Amino acid sequence: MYVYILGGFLGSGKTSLLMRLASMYIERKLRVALLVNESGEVGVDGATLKAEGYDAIELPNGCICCSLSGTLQNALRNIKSDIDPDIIIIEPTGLALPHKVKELVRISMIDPDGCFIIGIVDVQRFDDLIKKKGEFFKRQMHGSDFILVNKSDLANPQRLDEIKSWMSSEFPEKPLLSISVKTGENLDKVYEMMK
Amino acid sequence: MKQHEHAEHKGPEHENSIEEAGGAAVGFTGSITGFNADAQARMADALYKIGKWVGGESGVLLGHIKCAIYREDGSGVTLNLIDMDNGVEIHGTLEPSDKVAFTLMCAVLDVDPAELDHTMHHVLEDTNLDIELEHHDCHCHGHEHEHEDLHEHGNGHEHHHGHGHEGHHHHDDDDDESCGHRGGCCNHRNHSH
Repeated sequence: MYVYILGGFLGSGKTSLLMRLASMYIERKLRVALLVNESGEVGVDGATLKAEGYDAIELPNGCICCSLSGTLQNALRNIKSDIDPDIIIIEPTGLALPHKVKELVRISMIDPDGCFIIGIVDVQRFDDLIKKKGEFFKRQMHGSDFILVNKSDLANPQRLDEIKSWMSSEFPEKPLLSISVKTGENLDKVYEMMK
Repeated sequence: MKQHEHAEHKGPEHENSIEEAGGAAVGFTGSITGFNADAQARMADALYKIGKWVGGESGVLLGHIKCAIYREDGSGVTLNLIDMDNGVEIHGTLEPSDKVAFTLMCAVLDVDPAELDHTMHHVLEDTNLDIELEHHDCHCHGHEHEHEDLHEHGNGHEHHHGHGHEGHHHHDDDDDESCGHRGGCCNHRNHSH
């Protein structure tokens, strides 16, 4: 069993990527469990996923990297015992710190074969985010095993290069790939990276 | 710019990640009677108005405002606002229905959560849709209450949204723009209808 954590700021495209990845795994006859966390009292993503034909376990009203850390560990143990999936994909809130989630997976005693963080960057609001919350953004990205620069369809090649260059200078050791969940660009490569 | 209130009392080592980011998250659950394309457009417009308010408060909308509207069988439509220039994105379709459920969630940075809650309430009210909110912890007034009072708007349309109890802010002396709540709880100095 492998665990993937989708880390990225609010609106970066985590839920959309989650659905695309889940579809890819299901097409390959793998059992996938989706765990979705939202900070508000009510969850919207669960309803969205259901409307799109996916079943997801929702953990609303807090953050699984901190205030809901125990809830996350219980949910993981239940998923392991009840479903025993091939893949668990966790979508924390856009305000979570993914490396903390990874640590909680490690100590939850579900013993995955691997646990990886996929960092997701929003091309469109990159400048605003760096300007206003640069340090927090770096903390979100620093535990990533690889980083996806999403919404490439909304940026010209030069702009994409600028962002990738910035990311490479900050995180030189991390593989970087530009994608568009909307158009499907490079999602096959993401799947290969995950395997 | 307003700082997140919770972060003021703790050192960074004791903050949770939402506080560390200066985030605020507010959500409502409820139902809409008489859902159709016009109702969907009004809800989309409500999201946009919330986004505009957030942008005005914090300088830029960083975060997302989303709403899932769905039937009992789970089919539904999602409205999503991430970028004001892009506007509200709509995913899926939902046929006209007598009654649908909805969840509205706003997770953004650098706004006061109580003010966000308050703004979301009134933006929903201003849709003039037949909306019923489920039990809701109303941050703007600091206590829980049921939204069950009946209001009548200028167009003769009625919907539920309650403030019929003590403990609210009353501004009987003010002649500022009033939303017309019977309890007179809300004073909208900067809120246009």
